[in-house]
Amino acid sequence: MLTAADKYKENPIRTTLEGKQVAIGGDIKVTPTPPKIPFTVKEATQAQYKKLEELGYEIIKTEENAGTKESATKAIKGRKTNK
Amino acid sequence: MPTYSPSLGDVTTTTLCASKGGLLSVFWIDKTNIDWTAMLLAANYNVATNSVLNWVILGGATWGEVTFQAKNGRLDGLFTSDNDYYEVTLPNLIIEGRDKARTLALANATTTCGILAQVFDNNGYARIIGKEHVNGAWVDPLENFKISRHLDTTGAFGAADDKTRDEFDMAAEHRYPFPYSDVDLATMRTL
Repeated sequence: MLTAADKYKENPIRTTLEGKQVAIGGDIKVTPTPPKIPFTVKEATQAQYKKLEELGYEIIKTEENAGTKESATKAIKGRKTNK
Repeated sequence: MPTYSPSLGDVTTTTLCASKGGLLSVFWIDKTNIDWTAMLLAANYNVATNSVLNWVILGGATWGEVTFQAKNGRLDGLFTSDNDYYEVTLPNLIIEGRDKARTLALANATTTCGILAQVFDNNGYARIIGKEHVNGAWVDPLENFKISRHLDTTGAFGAADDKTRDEFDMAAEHRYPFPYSDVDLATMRTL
């Protein structure tokens, strides 16, 4: 299962993925200056998290073993940055 | 930003004639509302062209659009070898008429000294003022982008160009040519 890094869970961010806004870390309520209407950017789906991972965002992969609570997490390495 | 080094390649005039003057629109946000770490990702910034590809915004922060008399708007970036940096000015943003909400909004903006702006011109290009990509990182410019002058005036009778209005200038100093942005107007209005 893919989920956002803890820092995003504490402070979600939003970006545009394939032309649509998507939130990383949790749903984000946006309240623009009136008369624009408030709206909510939904947290990324598993498929979107997969794409965000490929783009280099810090996404955590949790591997759950069937029938147990045991799990392992690892941060995605090799971020594609402009350095 | 690209690596700037001494070279003298072709500098050409294209046949596109993209020479229409003036500004289309200006968006602004407090730069602390952007995730600058995520903005380093190749998906969000193209170092070769010095172009923002996508904005990553913290939480529910939003960009504001400044609606002004478009005919008066201009953006200048002036480099001189004496200074060795770019003086960036966005002068004469004029908003006719008067209302309390705008006075408050502009007063708030004048107290914000770390403004980030995306400025659209009339040739399909947009530029970023208030942050620059240097040596692999996003850094503050030499002088932060801020409102450098605000005229809150009633105007006077007898002159077509002296109506009740708010008039303001913005200014910054960048080390290098300020970045482009590929984020279009329609998208900016949703952010």
